[in-house]
Amino acid sequence: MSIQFLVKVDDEIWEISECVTNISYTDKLNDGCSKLEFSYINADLDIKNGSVVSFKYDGENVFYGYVFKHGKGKDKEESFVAYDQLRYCKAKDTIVVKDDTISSLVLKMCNYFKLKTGVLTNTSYKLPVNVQDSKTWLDIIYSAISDTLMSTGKKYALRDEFGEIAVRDLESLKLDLVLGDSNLVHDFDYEKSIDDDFYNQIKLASDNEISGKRDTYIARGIESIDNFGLLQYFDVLDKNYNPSQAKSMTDTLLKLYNREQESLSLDCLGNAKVRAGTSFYGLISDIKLNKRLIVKEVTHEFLPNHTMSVEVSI
Amino acid sequence: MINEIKTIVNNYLNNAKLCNLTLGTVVSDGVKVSDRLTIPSELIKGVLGQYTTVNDKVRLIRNHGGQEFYIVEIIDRDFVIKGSTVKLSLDGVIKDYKVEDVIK
Repeated sequence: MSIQFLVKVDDEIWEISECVTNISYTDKLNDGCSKLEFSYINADLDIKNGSVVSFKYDGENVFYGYVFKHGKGKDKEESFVAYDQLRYCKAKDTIVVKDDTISSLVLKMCNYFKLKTGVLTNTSYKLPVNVQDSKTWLDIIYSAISDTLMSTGKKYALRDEFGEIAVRDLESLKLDLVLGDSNLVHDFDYEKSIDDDFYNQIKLASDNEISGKRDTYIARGIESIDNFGLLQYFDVLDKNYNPSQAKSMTDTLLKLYNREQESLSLDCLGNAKVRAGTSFYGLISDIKLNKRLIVKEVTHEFLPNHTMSVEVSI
Repeated sequence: MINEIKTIVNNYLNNAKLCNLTLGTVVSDGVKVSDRLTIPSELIKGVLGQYTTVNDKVRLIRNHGGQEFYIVEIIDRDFVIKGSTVKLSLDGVIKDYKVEDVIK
């Protein structure tokens, strides 16, 4: 294993790979910026807020970002928290989305905050016209990502790749990696539940301008109701949809909610390629798991040994 | 703790975009509410939208969710409605007329 840890303080670049005592990297899928926490034994170099941090592990680019917090106790060890460029996108703004796609919104955001961009996958889906009034840029883009998912079935990730903001199709983030009970994983935690976010009857109410009253639309999964009992989801739509749109929404929601929620987290040996949004092949015989899994959240601990805990969606 | 809860509730309310009343000015492609925000005409609902002209001041109701805006009134503009009286002049002679019915 080799570590390359650089910091840039006042336009001077320092290598502190030998002085770093603790490195932990956390990344979540479409949920804010990634975070690098590290501690360092002060050897006459004062790292400040705003200092640039670059971290490579075994030649793999892991993190490039900026120090946002630092603190210390009585000894010489100082602890730091650094975030990537997406941290700057937590700012609120008011914009009108019109003739936009995910990539064009991201480009607007990066131009506004003067952030460096990398691969912005062209997402051809045009977002519906809407007003985003005093919302954070991240929320605006995440809601664009979920609109696009609903309409095209394609899921995208917004992330910072070593100092470049990127939009990636999750399909393009498949890793050649198998994790399982006989392979790298030393512990896992698995749960299957119908307690949260599980519904087998969807009921939506929407105002109907033609009949002049509120109509309800229902979709149900008969077999699932037989098995689990009737679990109903109800919502009043906040927009006027026509009957066929409302009907198709109930069907989409039923598809989304009418499955047992499975959650799985793995503790395993580290692989620096694993970031939120990437997917690997999961193989655990105990729970009959044998398929590709998308990483929702990952925390890497690099010292003394590289391990990671991964939360996946099934 | 109390402060955190207040912040959370505040953020939630701000994000939920509750129904509210706003003032705007009609421009060519929508209704301008502030320098940053012009609501595109696609999101403006209500029959009154047809009777506005550029520069009219209008009062809008924003729906819960913040994605639809209804024009409730055009400020300082009176309407001809059933029962009101209109003054009409013909060849210099002014006469009061009572409106019996309004036909579109």
